Amino acid sequence: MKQVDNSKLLWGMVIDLDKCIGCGACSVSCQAENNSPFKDDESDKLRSMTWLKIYRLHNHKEFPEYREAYLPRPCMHCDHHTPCVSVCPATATTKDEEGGIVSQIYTRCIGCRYCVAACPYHARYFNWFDQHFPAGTEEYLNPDVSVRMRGVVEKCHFCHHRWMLAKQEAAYKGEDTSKVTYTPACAEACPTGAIYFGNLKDPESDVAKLSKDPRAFRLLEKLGTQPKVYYLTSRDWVKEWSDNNMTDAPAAGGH
Amino acid sequence: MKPSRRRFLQFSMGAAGAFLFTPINWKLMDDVAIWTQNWSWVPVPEDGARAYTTTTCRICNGGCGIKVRLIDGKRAVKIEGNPESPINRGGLCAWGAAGLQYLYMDENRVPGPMKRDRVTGVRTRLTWEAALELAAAELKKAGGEGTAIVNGRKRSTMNGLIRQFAADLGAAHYCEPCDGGDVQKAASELLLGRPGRYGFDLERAQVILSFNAALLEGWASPVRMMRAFGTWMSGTEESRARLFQVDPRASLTASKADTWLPAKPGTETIVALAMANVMIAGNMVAPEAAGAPGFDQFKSLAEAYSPSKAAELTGVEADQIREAAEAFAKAERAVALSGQGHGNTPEPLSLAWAVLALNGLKGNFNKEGGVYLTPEPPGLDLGAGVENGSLLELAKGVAQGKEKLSALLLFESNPLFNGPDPAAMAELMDKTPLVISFSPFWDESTKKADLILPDLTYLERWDDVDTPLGMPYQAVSVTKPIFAPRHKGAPTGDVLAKLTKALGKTPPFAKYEDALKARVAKLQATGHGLAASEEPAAPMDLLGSGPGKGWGSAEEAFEEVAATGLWYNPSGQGDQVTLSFEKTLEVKPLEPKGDAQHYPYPLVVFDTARVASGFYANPPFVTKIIEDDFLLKKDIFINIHPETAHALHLKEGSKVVLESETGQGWVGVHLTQGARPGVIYLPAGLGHTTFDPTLKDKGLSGAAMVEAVEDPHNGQPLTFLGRAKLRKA
Amino acid sequence: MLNWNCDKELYPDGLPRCSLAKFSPVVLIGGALLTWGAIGAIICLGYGLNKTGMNDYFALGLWIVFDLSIIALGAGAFFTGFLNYVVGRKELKDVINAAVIIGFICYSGAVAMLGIDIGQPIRGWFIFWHANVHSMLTEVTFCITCYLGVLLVEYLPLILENRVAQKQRFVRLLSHNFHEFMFIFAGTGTFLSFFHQGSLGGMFGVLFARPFSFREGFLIWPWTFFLFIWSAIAAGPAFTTLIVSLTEKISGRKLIPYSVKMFYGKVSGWLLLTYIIAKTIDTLYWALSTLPRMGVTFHSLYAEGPYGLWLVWLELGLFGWLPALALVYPKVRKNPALLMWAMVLDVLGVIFNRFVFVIQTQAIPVLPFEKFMGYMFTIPELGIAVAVIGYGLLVFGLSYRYLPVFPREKELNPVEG
Ligand SMILES: Nc1nc2c(c(=O)[nH]1)N[C@H]1C(S)=C(S)[C@@H](COP(=O)(O)OP(=O)(O)OC[C@H]3O[C@@H](n4cnc5c(=O)[nH]c(N)nc54)[C@H](O)[C@@H]3O)O[C@H]1N2
Ligand SMILES: Nc1nc2c(c(=O)[nH]1)N[C@H]1C(S)=C(S)[C@@H](COP(=O)(O)OP(=O)(O)OC[C@H]3O[C@@H](n4cnc5c(=O)[nH]c(N)nc54)[C@H](O)[C@@H]3O)O[C@H]1N2
Ligand code: SF4
Ligand code: SF4
Ligand code: SF4
Ligand code: SF4
Ligand code: SF4
Ligand SMILES: [Mo]
Repeated sequence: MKQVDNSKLLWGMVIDLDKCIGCGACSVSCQAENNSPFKDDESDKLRSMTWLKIYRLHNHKEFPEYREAYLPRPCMHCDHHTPCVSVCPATATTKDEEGGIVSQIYTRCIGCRYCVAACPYHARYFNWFDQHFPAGTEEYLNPDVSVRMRGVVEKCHFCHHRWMLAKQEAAYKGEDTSKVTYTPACAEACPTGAIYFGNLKDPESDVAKLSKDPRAFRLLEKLGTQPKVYYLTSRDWVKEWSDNNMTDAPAAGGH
Repeated sequence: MKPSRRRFLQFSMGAAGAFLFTPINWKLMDDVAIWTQNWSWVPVPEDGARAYTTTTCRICNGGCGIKVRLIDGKRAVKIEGNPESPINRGGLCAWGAAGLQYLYMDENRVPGPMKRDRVTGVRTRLTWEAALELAAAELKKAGGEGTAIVNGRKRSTMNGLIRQFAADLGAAHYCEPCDGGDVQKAASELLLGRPGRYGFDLERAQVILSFNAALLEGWASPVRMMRAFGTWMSGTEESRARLFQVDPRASLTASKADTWLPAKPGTETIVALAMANVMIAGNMVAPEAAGAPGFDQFKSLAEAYSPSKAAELTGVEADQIREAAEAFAKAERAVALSGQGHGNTPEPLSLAWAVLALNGLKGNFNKEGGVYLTPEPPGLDLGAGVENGSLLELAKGVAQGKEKLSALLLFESNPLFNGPDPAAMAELMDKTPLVISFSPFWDESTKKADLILPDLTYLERWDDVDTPLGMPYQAVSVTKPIFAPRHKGAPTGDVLAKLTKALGKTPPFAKYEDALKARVAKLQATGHGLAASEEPAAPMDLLGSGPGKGWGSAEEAFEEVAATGLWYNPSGQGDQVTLSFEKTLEVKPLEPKGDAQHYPYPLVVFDTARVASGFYANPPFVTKIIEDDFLLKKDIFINIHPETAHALHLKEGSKVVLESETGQGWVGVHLTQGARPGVIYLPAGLGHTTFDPTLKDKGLSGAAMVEAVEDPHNGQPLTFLGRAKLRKA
Repeated sequence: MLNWNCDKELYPDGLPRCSLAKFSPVVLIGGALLTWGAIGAIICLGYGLNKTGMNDYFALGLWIVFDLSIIALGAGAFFTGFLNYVVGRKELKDVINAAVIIGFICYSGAVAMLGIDIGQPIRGWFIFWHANVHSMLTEVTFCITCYLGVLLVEYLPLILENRVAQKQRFVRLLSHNFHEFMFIFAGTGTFLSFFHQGSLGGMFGVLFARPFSFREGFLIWPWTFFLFIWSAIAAGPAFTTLIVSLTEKISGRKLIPYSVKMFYGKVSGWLLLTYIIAKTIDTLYWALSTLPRMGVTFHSLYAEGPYGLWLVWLELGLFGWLPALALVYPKVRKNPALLMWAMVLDVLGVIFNRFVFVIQTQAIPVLPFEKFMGYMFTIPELGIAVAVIGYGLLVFGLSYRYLPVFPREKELNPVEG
């Protein structure tokens, strides 16, 4: 897997779990922006397609010391030997040269689901059902995002269509398209301002600074997938949920 | 043909070659693959010119500014928060983000005016002319004395128009489902001699004492609160604001707070008085409070509740009470607030008063980070004389035959689902020959209505939202139609005007838009105010930054306010008041209805951020993210402590019948250390018998399970506390 | 009265076959299983894969376990070909035809199941068109399709040797020519098979984000690449022997000399012994060195749900060391019953290994805040798996009945007097 030179642009996200209150506005805004379908009964969470899934964590304590916290989980857009991209037989999912977004090509995906098994974050969702849009709702479908069909895998794509639109607008105005920034739908909707998004390689950006914050951590750091989504928390019991056991042995993953 | 090896080889090579190089099979394979990429049943959204319209979200009374992305001005494809509105600064809550599902789920929308034959249940569509004619005739026949109006629409000019219609009709009964604001007014009158609302400058507060207000789960103006929480949580751990949450369960707010004071349900007032005790004993009291009349009286009342005594009664540890009181007293900018759950349902008056008194001791009225006694923004005082009666009394009266109704009009109200006593509500509707609903959605009551004159959704009509609860500055948000109505509904304001004319009276305004223009003219007349603009002042320095420039003319004002969706006055002057502790309220324990032997467990109905508690049906996108230990298939889950479950031989996911004095139903069981042992917690908002399959017949309605408890001080029905039991079969 | 042997001319010359009545169960059972599979396929293709028990936790289910198992057990074909043609163990020519037929059934069955398993079967060829050379699954698909072609070419001459077919001069010539080229096909088959048996193992070994199945390795091949080949060639011949012995029992005729079974027993034994040693070392290295560096402890992987430590003892012990030591011991190989039982354990061992790598890998949550999940297949899903068994029953049954599969069958069953 040749390593792409991402010296200038690497999109990344930072989610501040101190601010996050699990309200779900990000997850709903993602569904609205990306034409997500819904079923009459979404009880089976293993077939419920929520690109941005919100997990509920707790501090293992008894009443009344018991506390809960929420952790929104988009795709991590893993930067090192991306687990899903490296296994896809039909090159239907690729890590983009510029920006490092892990995209999904719905018309090429053959639905073998090997990438779903490869992803440790369960960020990939397979269309087990035909997508159904009840009467009237076809009207609110966003033309910037293609509607998926049965039998293909879909996932968070860092709202790359918003990046494309931003670049088109910059080009139209004759500005330098490489300096373009954009905001994904989840970060835009978050009422507490818990989601930051930007270029990890730009030292001035929030995400670059915050990713070096002492409160920062990443999920399953030791696997070596180099996720591009960082989390912040000042509560130790939240950080302890980030990896199976916090042994300090060096990372093994990837070759 | 002489068989030979060479001949054989030639033959097989030819056959293989033929297969490989004819275009037919490859073309076929490619075409079939392309077919799978363009299935006719997979919709392809039409592209077009993209533009945004600014308006206000009106799913709740939060007043958030939104921008709706339109394609060719015809299709609304996305709702985004309006970063230029100081209320929500671009943020949204889950429902606001799913708003388009109210506009476009045709299955839930009433397509146009129609009447229903009560015997056969058959509905027939009507033109608006025919519908209005029928309505006018029926209302004349029913006569004012036989008519009751239920107005669920508060905090808006629409409220006044409906009130005026009731006056013009001479309706004998006019009920507004209880409004928590009344409790605030009563507490403010008691302590400050000023029956008015008050707001909280939360953005600048350093210490916040919250008495059961679900701050992060939809309290008052939900997104404004969430943004305030974001500011509290910014900066270093030392500089952050500290939140102390008094709450009967480990709610989300309690979990995110620095300290959770787990008070037994109904005992919060004691916690508040104990904190007052600590402040007075440690003479950490503002001079104007110590010198206020009746202070000694309040002092002796508070002395009865030392922290250790309070600990016994409320279950909150004494040092937690001390720690919170000291932090509150010592901080430069601190505020105490109450208003349980979303802040509009009536909370116990004693609690509202005690918490306001804490602010009195702190002396933070009209001060940075304190309580702002902000007067209501001027409005059209329509239907002033109409008295607000109790819907519950009316329903009981009709049930017992003491009252006879001939017409019942429902405005933004769904008594069959949300009424204080659904059984009584059902009987009320059965016994009333004419029920008219103005709802744009097929809610339970509208399904039973004899005549439906459907309103439009908030995205298709003019509307306004008065200052959301808890706001420290005056703010009136305005919605406007983003495009032509999707179905055949009509704005209720216009419909009422036509009805009034048909009844031989002159309506105050021919159209709702005119009423709104008149209202904005009143706002402009104050000479103050700002519209939402590019660079709204940062929250920290918004308040007190002056009353704003105002506009030269009413038309100018309306044009800018309609364009930006907001009028607000950040002057931050509050009414000047004099503090008096003379009228103190002794603490009366709040006993939920239902006998304790038969129904041993207190039942608390709570609200969460993921279920609209009935005001609007929960949209599919939000129902989808409800966790599977909260709603599974058709069952809602109660929350109980593992010990309580163990005692009843229940484990995670078991199915039981939850029974109370007024209702019963199957529920799932979720074990959580967040629940107080011996108390059952039931999430509110589900239990609908209508709407689309994502919601229909799912869960249990909290309204049916809890019998309203009269507040000992003002008789308001408190609907958050009941008694219940669990049984297997 | 119906003549129960009306298909007599089709029998291989000079060989008696039971009456059609007695043969009918093979057709009936095979047909029934195939129908169940067909209905299952219609349901899964018509209504979608939501009719299976799979979900976003268990993206791969019963079908992949079944695929991996039958491909491993189909290794008897290429390995026998390798031993017979390349290594020169001529005595295996008695069983090469049977091995090829079993191989063909396994591979064609596996490819058919893959066709239904993927969400967009019609786009299946995209794997070749947009191939991602780094993906193990691409390697698997390339090699399996090629090797299936090789197996077809190896199976074709056998069909052409049917008595009636041989009457056609052209067919006789064709089958004769095929025999001459057979060693080329055997050679390519061996290479392709080594490669895809390995990459099937590699599919799971490369998952560096799944601690349970990840293995470090040599260059780009994780140790599972080699272990899968090793276990396949250890179980393939055993499986072939079991099928042939089963046919002997049903038909009541001796089909291959016991010495061939003994030879297969010896080969399987030594391969299994060396495999289980390597497997044990690999498990230890993985548990003690790889896992900790991935932030996971060995114990935590077996702490939740029904998949406890007993799985390890079962795979290494009952299915590993026991049959290995047994088969290596000549006395055991001499006793037909013990030989059979050891081979059965050997075959079950490889199936169990594939099950663990597919199902247990996906059952164990990697994110600490996720729960352990169980998986259960549905009726239509099971149908497609058993249909392959039915298909095998039919193909092997008909081949034995109408094709000269066992060259020494006549010799081994002398007609008395
Ligand atoms: N999304 C949405 N928003 C709404 C509405 C809606 O239907 N949906 N309704 C609107 C209307 S009409 C109203 S009136 C308000 C609803 O007014 P709210 O004040 O929100 O009423 P609820 O939240 O339903 O009341 C239950 C709350 O009381 C708390 N509580 C439980 N026990 C006690 C106790 O012993 N003491 C005290 N002080 N509190 C306790 C519970 O924890 C829970 O948070 O919301 C308004 N906003
Ligand atoms: N257990 C329990 N019971 C409660 C409460 C509680 O907190 N807990 N809350 C109580 C309180 S405080 C209140 S205020 C009542 C509230 O109860 P109601 O006043 O009855 O209001 P809702 O039931 O929330 O529903 C309002 C209905 O109006 C319809 N509607 C929506 N938009 C419009 C519109 O634009 N125009 C018109 N005409 N109709 C519209 C919708 O279909 C909706 O069903 O419930 C009370 N019941
Ligand atoms: S919208 Fe923001 S606060 Fe709400 S769940 Fe998402 S990240 Fe958390
Ligand atoms: S989180 Fe999963 S889907 Fe996203 S890049 Fe990483 S492996 Fe791929
Ligand atoms: S399901 Fe699609 S994206 Fe995933 S590995 Fe298979 S072809 Fe690639
Ligand atoms: S970045 Fe875009 S696609 Fe990804 S979770 Fe956020 S809204 Fe969804
Ligand atoms: S808080 Fe209320 S007004 Fe604001 S976005 Fe949510 S539903 Fe709309
Ligand atoms: Mo209310």
